[in-house]
Amino acid sequence: MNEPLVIRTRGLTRYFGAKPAVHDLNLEVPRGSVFGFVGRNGSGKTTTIRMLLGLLQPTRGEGSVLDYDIRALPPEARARIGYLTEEHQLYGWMSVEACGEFQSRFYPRWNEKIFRGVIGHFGLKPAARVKDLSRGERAGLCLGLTLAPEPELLILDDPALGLDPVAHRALIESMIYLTRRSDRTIFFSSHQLADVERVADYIAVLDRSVLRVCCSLDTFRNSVQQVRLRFPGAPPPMPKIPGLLQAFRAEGELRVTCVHYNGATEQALRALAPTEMERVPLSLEDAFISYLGERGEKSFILSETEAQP
Amino acid sequence: MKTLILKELRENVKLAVLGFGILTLILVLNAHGYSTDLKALSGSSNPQQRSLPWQPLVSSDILAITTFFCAIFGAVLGWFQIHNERHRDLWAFLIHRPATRTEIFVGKTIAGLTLYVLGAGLPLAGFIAWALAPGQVAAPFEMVMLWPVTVLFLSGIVYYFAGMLTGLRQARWYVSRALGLGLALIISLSLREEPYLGLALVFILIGVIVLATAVWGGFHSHGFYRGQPVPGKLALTGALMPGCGIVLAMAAVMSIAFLMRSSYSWSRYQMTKDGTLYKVTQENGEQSSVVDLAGKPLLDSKTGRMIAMADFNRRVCNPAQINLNFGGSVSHGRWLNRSCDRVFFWQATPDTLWYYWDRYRRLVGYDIATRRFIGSLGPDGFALDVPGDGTRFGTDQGDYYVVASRRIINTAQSVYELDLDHRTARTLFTVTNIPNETIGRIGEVSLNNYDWDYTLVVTRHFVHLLTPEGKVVWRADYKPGYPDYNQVQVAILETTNSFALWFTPSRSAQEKAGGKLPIRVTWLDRVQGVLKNTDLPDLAHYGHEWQPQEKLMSLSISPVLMVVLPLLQEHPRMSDIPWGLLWYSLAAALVCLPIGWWLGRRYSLALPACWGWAAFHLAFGIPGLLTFLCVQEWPAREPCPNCKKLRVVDREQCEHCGAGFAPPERNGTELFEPLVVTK
Amino acid sequence: MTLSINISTGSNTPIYKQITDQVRLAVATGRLAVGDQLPSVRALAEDLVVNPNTVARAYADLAREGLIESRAGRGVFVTRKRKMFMREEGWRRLEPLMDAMIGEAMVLDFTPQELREAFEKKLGQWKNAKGGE
Repeated sequence: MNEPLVIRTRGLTRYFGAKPAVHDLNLEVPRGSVFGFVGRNGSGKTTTIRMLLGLLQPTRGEGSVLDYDIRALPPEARARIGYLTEEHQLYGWMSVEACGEFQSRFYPRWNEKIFRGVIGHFGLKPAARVKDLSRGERAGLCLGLTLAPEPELLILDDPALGLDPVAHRALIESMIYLTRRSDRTIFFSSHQLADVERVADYIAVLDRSVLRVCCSLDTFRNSVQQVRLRFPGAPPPMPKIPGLLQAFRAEGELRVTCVHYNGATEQALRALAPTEMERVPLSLEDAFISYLGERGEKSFILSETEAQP
Repeated sequence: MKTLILKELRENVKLAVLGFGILTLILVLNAHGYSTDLKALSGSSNPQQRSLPWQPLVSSDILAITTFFCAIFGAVLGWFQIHNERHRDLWAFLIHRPATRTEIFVGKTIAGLTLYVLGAGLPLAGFIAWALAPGQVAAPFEMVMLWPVTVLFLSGIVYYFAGMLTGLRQARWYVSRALGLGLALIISLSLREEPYLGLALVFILIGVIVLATAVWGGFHSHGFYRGQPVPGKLALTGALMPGCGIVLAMAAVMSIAFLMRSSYSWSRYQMTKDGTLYKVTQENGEQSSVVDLAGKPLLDSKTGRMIAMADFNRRVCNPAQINLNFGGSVSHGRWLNRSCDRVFFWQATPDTLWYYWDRYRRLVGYDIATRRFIGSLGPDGFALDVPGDGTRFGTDQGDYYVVASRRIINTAQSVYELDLDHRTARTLFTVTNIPNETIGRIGEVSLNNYDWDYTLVVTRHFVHLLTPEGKVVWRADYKPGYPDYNQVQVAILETTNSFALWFTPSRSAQEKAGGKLPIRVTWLDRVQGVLKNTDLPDLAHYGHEWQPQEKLMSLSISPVLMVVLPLLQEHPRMSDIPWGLLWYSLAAALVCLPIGWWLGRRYSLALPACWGWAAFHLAFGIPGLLTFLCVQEWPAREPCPNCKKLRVVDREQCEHCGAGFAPPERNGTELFEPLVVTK
Repeated sequence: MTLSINISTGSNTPIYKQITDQVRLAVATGRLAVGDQLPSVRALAEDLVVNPNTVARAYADLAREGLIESRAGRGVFVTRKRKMFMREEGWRRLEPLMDAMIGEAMVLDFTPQELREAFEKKLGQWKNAKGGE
């Protein structure tokens, strides 16, 4: 099976009570990509992932993973999908070795070398019990258990959560290592924007249960622009700009962050008659924070004379 | 799957060991207590008989222990197996592997049931082995006596699945989660009432199938109703319904008891020691009134008011009562009694315990010290074994033998006095040689309930009163006779040195006659015979008049249950069904039907589902509606972008106008590009 | 070949651009000579812990500039730098660096004469290091 899209959803929706946690999601994840799934807490990332894995029933809509319907994933599909959960939960009474034993019996394809390799990489002793492991060690164990069956699709839900720097680095290295195989896909959700910047080819951004971004990382980065305008006195009120993300007023300056910066936007800003107008290069992290943060105007009162608009 | 079974065994073995330890301890204490009590018996002439469980395997202690332990252990084991994966990520770890949900369910179940059998079954098996070992239990044993413990052990499996279901359910309130236990509880309670062993086993099987299927379905959707396969949904509904029924019934009982006073009144006849008949009436729990047959109230001579019941009861004579049953086998009506009541403790002599063993209809003796069988006593005397074809007590109709005294016993023709110290049976009395004359029952008559003043022998044709030596004091005709009149009472009238004899009609004959059959009272003495006869109208209520409480109560009971339950007895009759109350039940069901239908359409449930629920509401009434509310998950509703009416969110097309859903509003900051398929 | 590239996330410069900048700097300072082999895309990606596509893009940009070339089967090598840059492009790149240096010198109160002398000195050092060009 070599479907070009390993994950595809149409109108995937999930309500909790009266409000949608995931609203009309249309997602396409190409084979072989490293796909980052970004959004604030509570925006619906984990819900989406649980729906994709058939652990949660969608309210409506459909989805397919490796061309299998997510509402009925058969065992052969699960053999090809690896899933790393947020909390890295395992049975506390099992030893590291026993976890490997346990998992290996279920999977037709189990690469013991990979398991031992990851375990060794994270410095785990085979006889240690899961309940005695630190969070980072548990993450390493879970990663080993997930990678050993050599899954075609790896779904990671906030894998770096709570990891110490060494474990964190080991995790990212494992993800890069996986990209050796061109048919392997990684789909991961994360708050660690540095990780996203390092490893992701594409990103999707969930903004309060709605998908608003699905593009390559470079496209996103190039699209989010920040412009600084200087004024002699207090900055004038902001005009309506399509694609406006944030406008920050400070003493004598106005910083505008927006997407789809084009000629019309430039004209609208020039109409404010600033003394200076320059583009400010943004880091990816700043771009994300602007995109995901509170939309609209913010200000910083520096002196009593500066009034709120 | 084997891996999963081993993992489950390892994970839950501590619980099983704990259960094993607790049950073993309790059973060992019980066995030890039996031994101690038995040892305390030897040498004492008046043993405390109530405390000893004569055959521990069927004693109420052991049955209670088994019931409670198996239920609790089973439920806790099942619940724990699910509770181990309570964290949703650990549940995801369990589910997300190349195995079907069914395989995972089966793996867990096999492990859990194995632990149950080890934790509950092994100690019970050990207890049975102890009871069967010769020299341990000084009481007879029959194979059917193993059934009660076995059936109760099996009923724990129902609780096991109920515990699993409780762990799985995603419902918000804990009561709603535990409703599955209601089914297990109902099955437990019904086990005592079943007429046949086979029926009890069938009930357990039904309970296991329903609950196991509900748990299986719950594995598919992690406890939610939506997303389960249809058998799971059906089973879940069936599993929760008894719980709803119980909750509703309890609420109904409490509110009725709180709000309504039951009005009742009853009257009966009582005779004082001088032979005077009085009518005692009680209404609504107030003071009873005592009037004579002319209607004149009996007043307390000191106070001038109605005599107090305490004083009156001192004046009342003490009749011996005998219920006759000449034809057909009298069965207990319940398999549990048939298994437990095979053997009646008869009496304890200083060194022997004597039992009446129904199977052989002889008395069997067990030595207290060695606890071994020493021999049996029949009409023809003592034998060292239990002769299967030896003479027997009781009658050929198959008696269920109950005698108040332990001194006399009868066969069809004769009455015997037993001397257990010397192990002999002496003939006291033999019936006259007329065709069809057999002894029905015998009893002791006494003034004060423990002296043996006279022996009462009721045969087909006569009522005899004998001295303890067997001499006939008087003989009266058994008229009005059997089968219409099946109850005979005889009292000693102290003050006048005479006797009173009652004949009371059977309930079924009285019902057929519409309450018209009189009670016959005869006074007689030893010299003159019959002194006087009188007929009294029967005071008991016949015919069914339903109390308002019963009518209200029946609103909360499912119509189906009202029809089916009364038929689950040994000789079911259509008249056992409370037709009068059934209308109330159906009326409640008919109200539930449109409510359920409206809810179904409002939330746009599939039409076949609506029809199914409609039938369900009609059959099960208010408990059914409650189950519907508990089980069904209600989708949210939103205004349709097209027709503006509220529509459910889980359908692609609006149920009113067929429009789809509007995509979420764009705010101008969207960034989409077609993704290039790499490499 | 002692090519040590360090990339940092959260910077205003995209990662691929950090790589190209550092390779260019290495070539310019002589740490990388013409004919030196660069690590393969995969090796560099794993070393830097970044997506290989990012490294691939950096290498593609450098190849387009003519700074490196990929020889089939053998790897990626530094080539003779063809003067593909127009002079204007070069000055445009140099201008902000000059502004930065002069501005900094002014702030630190160096005189233009001191600056000129230091600059000549530095040029001389470079010439010596590269063996003249």
